Amino acid sequence: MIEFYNVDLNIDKKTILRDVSFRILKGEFVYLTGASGAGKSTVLRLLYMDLFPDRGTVIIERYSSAKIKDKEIPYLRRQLGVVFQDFKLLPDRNIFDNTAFALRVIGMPGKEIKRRVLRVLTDVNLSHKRNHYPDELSGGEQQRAAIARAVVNNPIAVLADEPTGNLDSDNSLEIMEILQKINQSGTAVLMATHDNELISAFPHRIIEIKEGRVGR
Amino acid sequence: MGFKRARLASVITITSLALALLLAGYFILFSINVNRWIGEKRSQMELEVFFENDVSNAKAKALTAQVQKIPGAGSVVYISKKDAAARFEKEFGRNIYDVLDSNPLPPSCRVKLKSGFQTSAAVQKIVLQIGRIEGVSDVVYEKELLRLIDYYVTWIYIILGGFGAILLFIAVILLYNTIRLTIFARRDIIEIMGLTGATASFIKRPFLIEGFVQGLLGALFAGGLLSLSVSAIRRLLFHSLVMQDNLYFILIGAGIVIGMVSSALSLSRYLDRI
Repeated sequence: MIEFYNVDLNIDKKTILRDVSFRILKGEFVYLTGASGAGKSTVLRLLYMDLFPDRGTVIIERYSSAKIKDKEIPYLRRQLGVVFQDFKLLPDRNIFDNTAFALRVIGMPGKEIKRRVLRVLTDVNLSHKRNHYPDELSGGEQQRAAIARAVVNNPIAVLADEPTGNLDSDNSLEIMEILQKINQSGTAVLMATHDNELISAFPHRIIEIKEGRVGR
Repeated sequence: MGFKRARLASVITITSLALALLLAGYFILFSINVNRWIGEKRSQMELEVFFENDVSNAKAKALTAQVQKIPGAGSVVYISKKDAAARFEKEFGRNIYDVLDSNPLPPSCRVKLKSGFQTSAAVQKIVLQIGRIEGVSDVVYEKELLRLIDYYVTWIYIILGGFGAILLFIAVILLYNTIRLTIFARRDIIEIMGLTGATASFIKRPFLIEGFVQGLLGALFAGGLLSLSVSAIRRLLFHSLVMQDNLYFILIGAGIVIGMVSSALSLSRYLDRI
């Protein structure tokens, strides 16, 4: 479903990734680990095609980095949900609107948006806070809202970039449980993290990036 | 995402656009009036063509007709010896026959020039052509005045052109930066739109609509201030200040185009690969 074939990437003449190859199957949960600056976020950006490899190919379902046209990129991104360490919620909208945003931009009708958003907010246990603004929520709640936005469009995979990086251990556990639940419903999860405790508590396959290469 | 969510940024954009358009409006207003003043001065320009003193009235009239045919000649008025004597009496208060035994004033004609033939170079060409006509003794006009008008007009146009170019440059830079900053302030929403699969046209649409509305409001604001200024100048300084109403439509069109183009340009850097 997701494949990296011999990917090289240089940014500003600096090698970021070298000959990276891996595959993630449908419905799989995979950790992407490595030290800070190892290239974990870069791998995710290559997946949602914010970056393109200098050599090799990235494939997500029927989209290939070698062949994709600019106008097809939005349609690829509709197949992916992206979660960031800093949540990236819009501060001037409430949680319902932040979640609905992902559906509004793809032109979904209002009635269907309401149905889907309420369902997904219930899944992340935030339906009672749907009218709150991000700054009225705790970090854990904000990350749950960001996850709701990422999955409301039923993506084939969730790409999570250090989603627990800004959270305490209780909130981190809660986020992990939500990601597990999402994964159990059939969505693949690729989570970049360097939190070994979480990895031990929720064991899954690990892809380690070390000095720009896949370590194990 | 428009005015409600970024009220201050919108107010700044509309105000800077309005100021830029108002400056442009003043500049155009000034140019229109300078042009008109120069046009008036030029249109007052007359050539006085004197015929040989001994030509008959009929011959002088025929010569006048010949002068009339020269390209650039507008209205031509024939002045017979008798008319010239009457003019002398009017100007000096004495009958010419009281001063002299005979009338030495030659028949002549006064030639107004068509617009487009009122520059120094064009007048000289016409004067040469008239001078070649058999029976014409002299052509007189305010050569020095015309030369001075041409000289100052050149400088006025150079200064106006330079000033206008600087003004336009400042206005565009000011506006581009203001809009760039307002879009920069909303880069998060653009980024999230891109990440959630919005197409480039979907992302652009609200910003272009916003650019359109801001351009329109800025232009209406500038137009209102310009209109008030024109009334004030007419009342206090120049009663005869000329204002062309289509300038307001030009300002509105320019405001809308500048607003939309600035939005599109400022956005483009965020939409590289969406």
